[in-house]
Amino acid sequence: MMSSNTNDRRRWGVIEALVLCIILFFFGLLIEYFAGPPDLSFWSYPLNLIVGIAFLYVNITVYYFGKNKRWVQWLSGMPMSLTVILWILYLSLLVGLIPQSNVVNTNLTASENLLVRFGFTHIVSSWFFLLDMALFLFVLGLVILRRLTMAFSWRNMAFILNHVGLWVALAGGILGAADRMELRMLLPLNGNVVKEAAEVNSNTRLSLPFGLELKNFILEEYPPKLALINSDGKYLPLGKPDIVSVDGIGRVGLLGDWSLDVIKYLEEGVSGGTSEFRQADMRGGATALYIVATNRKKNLRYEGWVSAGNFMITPTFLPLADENRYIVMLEREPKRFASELIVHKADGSISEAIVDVNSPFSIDGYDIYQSSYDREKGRWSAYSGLMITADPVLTIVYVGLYMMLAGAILLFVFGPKKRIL
Amino acid sequence: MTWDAFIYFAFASLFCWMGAVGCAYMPNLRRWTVPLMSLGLAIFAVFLIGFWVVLERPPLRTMGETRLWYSFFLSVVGLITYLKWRYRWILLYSTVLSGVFIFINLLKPEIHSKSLMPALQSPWFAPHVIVYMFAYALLGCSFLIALYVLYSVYKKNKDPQPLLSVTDNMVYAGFAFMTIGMLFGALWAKEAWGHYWSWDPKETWAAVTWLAYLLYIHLRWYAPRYVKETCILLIVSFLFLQMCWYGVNYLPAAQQSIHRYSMS
Repeated sequence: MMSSNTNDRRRWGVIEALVLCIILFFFGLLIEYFAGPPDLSFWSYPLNLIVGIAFLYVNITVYYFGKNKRWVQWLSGMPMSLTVILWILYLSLLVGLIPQSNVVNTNLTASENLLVRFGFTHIVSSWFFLLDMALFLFVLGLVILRRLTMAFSWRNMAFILNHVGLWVALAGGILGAADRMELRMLLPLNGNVVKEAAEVNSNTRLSLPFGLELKNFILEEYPPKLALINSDGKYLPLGKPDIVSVDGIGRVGLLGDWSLDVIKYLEEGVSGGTSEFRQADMRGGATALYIVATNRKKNLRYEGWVSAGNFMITPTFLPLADENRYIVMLEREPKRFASELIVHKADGSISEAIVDVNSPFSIDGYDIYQSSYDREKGRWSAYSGLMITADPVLTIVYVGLYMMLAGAILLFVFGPKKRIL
Repeated sequence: MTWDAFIYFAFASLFCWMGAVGCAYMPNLRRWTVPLMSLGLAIFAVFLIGFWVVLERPPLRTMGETRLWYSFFLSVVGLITYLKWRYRWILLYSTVLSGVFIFINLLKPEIHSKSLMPALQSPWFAPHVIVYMFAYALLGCSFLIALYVLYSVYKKNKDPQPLLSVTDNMVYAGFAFMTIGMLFGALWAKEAWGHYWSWDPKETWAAVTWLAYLLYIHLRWYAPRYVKETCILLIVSFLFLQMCWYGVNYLPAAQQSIHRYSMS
């Protein structure tokens, strides 16, 4: 017979923890189905800050007034921690396995529609994800508070850095998502000053506190490359194609038994519809090479122009007629693309800036990135594709990330605690 | 030092490593174990450095190139484990796994062009990938040990705790490096793509892998005697790791990933 003595009651463990996760999960599914996904704009500042502070307050109060209660000890204990980690792992797996999209699609089957209605196609912005992450953060908060009551040691420091860092980064990232902006701007090379950009998901136009003008679009390419193809258009040798990179005039290399010499190198050439190239005298030229291909073994020699062409010029290749082979120029790969911008600020001041891939430019709390360009036109792109972001909580999230970095280093230095089992 | 030279360096390294394994098991030759392992590593390192110089960019872009580093680091981790705990079989396991990845590279070489696309021209590129490959090697070895533990517990009835404390060390170190790699990735992503975390498939599976090993660390604290469950967790975690490393390239849900440039 079960004793009614409190000390004999089984402590809550993993099962109860799992039940809690599942309850919140189903609650989230219900809300999603009947009320749709959470409205990000509703949660923007100052609501997210208030919610964050209130959450922290509840977290701390629950711990300090409840730390001797059974359910608080359970929430801040290992079985609960293990379960929430497992549950977030499960949700992340769903994100990885189910195709995610923020785009609203009306051409769906009944089962696809069901997935959308419950939030499975936009998991990280769904109610069930939000609720389960809130639980994760609450549990993590209690775990941290429990450890804070212990004496200082380097091991405890590592624990604090890792756990607090994760908490700060996650809470900041989740709450701050409502205020994050990601905008696209196609800046034309026509002297216009553009002061608006389009939000990436909704396409709504937003005006900016500054204007941008494209002074120049820069595209640097890697040297042109030559390759050998057969009459089916397959690169040779099959499976492991030979490629010759052309740095200038002269002997440039071998394609199979063919040694190649570059006689003329035009960075910008035009052909006027023929297979002969001459120096371009205006925009729109394509790289063209006049090459001589010699086969010593078979005593054959071919010469002619080769070009990958571009949006205006058809590609030109050199047929090795007796062999049913052709020498082609591959499309030149971009080495660097960047934009020279003129920035018109709201106060009337004008300044210049360069934006490169991997080298954004900041102004007034916005970050401007070189994102894309007209790939078809290449160096003659008439516009520059920029991405403009704003993330007010970035500093907070970075504090969390750097704490985790320090924590990771200490984790490596200390390793696991040695225990006698 | 072109790709064509790889087969010679690879076979030379493998020969040294296999020799080292043999010596480890023969009492009168044991003193040659560490020198031979080191020689194999040095030969492989010469190839890596030479290849880097010829390519004029870090050889870290294509799948095949990351496999090179994996083979190298696996043997590094095997050697360090042997030096610290004197488990001879870890040298055998790490050499075999290293060899597997070498053979995959020989059978499926990819076009290694010199060009590095603008998105990858960043000082974050090499540290991010190298730190991850080292983490993967540590976690790969812990996977091998998990297999061995399952075998030794169920066939030979041995006490698994000494071995599990080896996996603890490896997972702590591997997890630390994996966290650093992930954070480097996040900091780089902000510089390159505007956001430190966008649930891109590669990032998602990196999170899945990270959470799985996090689960291991916590499980070992709570239930150190759950040996079978711990080993299975290590095996499943390693499968997630493989999915993150190259599985995402084949996943239907991941075809729009910005990390897919590694396929071309």
